[in-house]
Amino acid sequence: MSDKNGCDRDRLSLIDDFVIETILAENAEETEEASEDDLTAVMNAMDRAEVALRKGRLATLRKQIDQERAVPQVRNFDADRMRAKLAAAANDPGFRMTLAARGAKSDGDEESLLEDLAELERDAGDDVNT
Amino acid sequence: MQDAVYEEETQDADQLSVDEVRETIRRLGKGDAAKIRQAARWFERRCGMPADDLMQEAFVRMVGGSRHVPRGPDFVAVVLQVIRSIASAEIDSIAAGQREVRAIPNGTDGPEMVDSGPSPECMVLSAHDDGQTLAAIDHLIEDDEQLQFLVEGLCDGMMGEELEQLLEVDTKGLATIRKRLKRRLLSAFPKGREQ
Repeated sequence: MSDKNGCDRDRLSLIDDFVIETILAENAEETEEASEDDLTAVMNAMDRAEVALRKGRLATLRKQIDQERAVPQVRNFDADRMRAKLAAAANDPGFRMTLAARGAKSDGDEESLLEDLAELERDAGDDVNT
Repeated sequence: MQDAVYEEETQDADQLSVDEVRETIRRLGKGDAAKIRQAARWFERRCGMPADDLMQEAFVRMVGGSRHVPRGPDFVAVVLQVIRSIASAEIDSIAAGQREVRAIPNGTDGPEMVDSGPSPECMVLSAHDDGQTLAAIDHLIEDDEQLQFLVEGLCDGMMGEELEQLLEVDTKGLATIRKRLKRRLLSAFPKGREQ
């Protein structure tokens, strides 16, 4: 039966070849049943394809964001060392730093800055290691 | 986002960029659209995937960049080959038992109606394997001896002059018979399965 199926598949493949060849051989003007419906159906398929691609891109972006969020944040760091580093940077007029960063007042601001600094230090360390 | 799956722009000058593919599809005329839709309908019968879905998936692959498109005049031929490739994969999935064989809504045979037997067209659509499909095609052309010879010749790999000798016709006569076979095959379900 499997041999027969293989043979049948080959025969059908040749009929597929015939159908494609015959369709392509027609001049556009003589293509049977060419109508506005055909054009509309093809353009609708294209519209749906573009939506599917956009959804695919969105899914890819979401996956990447989820993966980035899944990476453990820097939580444990030496706050005193980072604070000293930040203070040194704030006092260094040659160091490029925003006014907001220099003047971080609230505990939240400072904690956030220290975390960012620790994360930058960790990433720089990763770069060095790679 | 450098590793995005989609929009893999090719740098090969022999291939269309995805933007060029998109523009080419948008500029298709009625005749080319009819060719694409005819092929999609044929392969719908072969694999059970709706023609609209076959066209959509072909465009996804071409515009998404996973199927590169050579630069040149044969754009429609490429679309048809992509549709064929998708249908072929679908047929393989069905053969491997990975797809459900869907019931064929033909708009006339409901469960409440007494069925006098499947039409040849319905047989083409509902064929679960290649043998059934071939049997259904044979049934479609059983009243036309020339078409039967043509199908036999095609299935034996004959071309051009060989077919002319087999059918005892000249080139013009062969073209007429080929057109008749194509019409017979494609008109089985002119509106596609979904209608």
